[in-house]
Amino acid sequence: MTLTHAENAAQDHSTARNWRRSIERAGPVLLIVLLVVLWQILTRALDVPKFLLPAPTDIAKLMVDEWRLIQMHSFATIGSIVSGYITAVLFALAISALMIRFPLVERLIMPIFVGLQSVPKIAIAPLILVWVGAGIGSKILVVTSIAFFPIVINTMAGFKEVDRGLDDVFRSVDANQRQMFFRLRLPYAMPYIFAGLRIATTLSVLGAIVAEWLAASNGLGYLVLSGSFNFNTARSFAAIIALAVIGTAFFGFMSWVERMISWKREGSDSTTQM
Amino acid sequence: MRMIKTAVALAALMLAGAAHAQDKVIMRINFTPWAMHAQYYGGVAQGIYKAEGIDLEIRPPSAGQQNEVFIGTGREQFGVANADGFIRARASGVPVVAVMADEPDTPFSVITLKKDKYTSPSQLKGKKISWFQSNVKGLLEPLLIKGGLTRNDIEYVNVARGAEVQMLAAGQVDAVFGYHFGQALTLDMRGFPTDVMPLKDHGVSFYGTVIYTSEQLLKSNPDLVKRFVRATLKSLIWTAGNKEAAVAEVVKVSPDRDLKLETRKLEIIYGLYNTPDYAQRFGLMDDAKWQSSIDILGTESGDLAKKPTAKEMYTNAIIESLDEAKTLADLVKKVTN
Repeated sequence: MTLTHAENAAQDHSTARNWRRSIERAGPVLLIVLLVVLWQILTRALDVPKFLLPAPTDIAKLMVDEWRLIQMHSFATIGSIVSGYITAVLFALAISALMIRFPLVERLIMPIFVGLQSVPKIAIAPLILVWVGAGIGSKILVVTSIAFFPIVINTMAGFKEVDRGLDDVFRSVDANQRQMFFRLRLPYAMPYIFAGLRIATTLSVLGAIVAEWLAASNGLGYLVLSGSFNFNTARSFAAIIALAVIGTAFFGFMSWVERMISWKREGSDSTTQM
Repeated sequence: MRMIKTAVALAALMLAGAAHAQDKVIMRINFTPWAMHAQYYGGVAQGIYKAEGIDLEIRPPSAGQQNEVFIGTGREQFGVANADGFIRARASGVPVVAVMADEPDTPFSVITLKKDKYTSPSQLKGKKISWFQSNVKGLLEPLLIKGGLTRNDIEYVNVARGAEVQMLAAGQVDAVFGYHFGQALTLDMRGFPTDVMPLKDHGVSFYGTVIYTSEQLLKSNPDLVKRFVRATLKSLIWTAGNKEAAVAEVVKVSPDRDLKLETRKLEIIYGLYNTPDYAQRFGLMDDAKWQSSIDILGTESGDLAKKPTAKEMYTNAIIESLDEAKTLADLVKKVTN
């Protein structure tokens, strides 16, 4: 009897814990739903003009009505983000490999990169437009210039973080530069490289929007501005929502890729630990 | 008795204080400061707005929002607008109303480099034209129609204000949609001779720029609107005789502007003020030109949410109540005759 009582109490406790966990998990979603409902009620009750703040239902309706338009501009933005990002990644990895292989190159180039890194890229975007013109070329260049630096800086940090003991081991067995790079430095740098790649995902979305704000005929950045200047605030909201989805999906994708191809570097593979 | 005297003195002091209290007023201009804004900067420097009890702050246009929203919602009080954007704002339900015309006819033109030899609208087919998001595409359509084109025959490249001149010079666009006395003169002076196709020469009857406020302010504080318009007219009168000094005030806030070039532009602007529209009073507007302006934008193209009426666009009540409008009308005839 006592045992059953205890079992029941344990079961109750477990049920309560499950409930709490479910509520905690669903909490953010519930809060968002609550805020959206509140937004809907307030905009209708206070009769807020649509050009100031459209109701969520207005935005949803516009997203349905203008789905093809949003889709077209989303593809344009995704195209420039992905192209610029890939260019930045390839360029950054190649330069980093060169710098780690030839220290003289690093001594020559790194101070320039550090200097350029401190320049807000938005400031040079107008110059890129004059040099390359409006269009996909300038968008890729702006995205590349913004996404490049965190990758290069992180990759270099990763390459230099190689455990000294392992480095000595590789040298003691007369490993060549190629083996040193692919078998030691690159695996060691992976977490750093991916950290840079993840930072670059959000920056590349920002870069695409900057380029589309300054001069473009398509893309979600263009659509946000177009909505503002045409007093179609619902359209601006729709474009912002699409941007949020793209940015989050891109970041999530990179995290997934990291989990798939990277491996955790355990503390035990360091030879210099006490 | 002494108490009464003290009370009277205090009341007098308070009245004097109230008389000197300045209304804080914000005005949004339609472009980065240049010659066409010289009267506002000159007026502020000369204390003309202050004398009307107005502490005026001039703000350049927003890069990410149509200015009419700031004024229509009462966050700011006055604006200078290109008529096309102004009509679109009104058509979208923004409660703004024009209280005075500035440029009586649209100065917008298609500006190309002379070396390209694009001198007729039909040659624009397949060309890239720089475009400000604040403009309405329908404004260009009468010119395109003259060339047998539609808006789909050209590529609109949206650019930030100020970038268009450099982009044309660098060959990144084929044409600029700008003012014939603005971007065209700047390019000419920088060594890039231009050809200009003004909309006005292609049968377009369209207002140029207007000064506007919100319906709410006009209703709740007509005295402030009147004082603002009077100060603006007085500033225009002062500027007529002091163009270089007025432009110098613009150069102070926009140091990249060239004093001589901007003064030359201002002279052209004053020349354009000498128009039959302003024969009686400077700044007067009429139904016919507003109707023509609205009709050109139309609703078929999707540029306007709905077609506003000419009457709801403007009021002449303020201009008709001010003698300065008459004085300025006479002055601009003398300046250019």
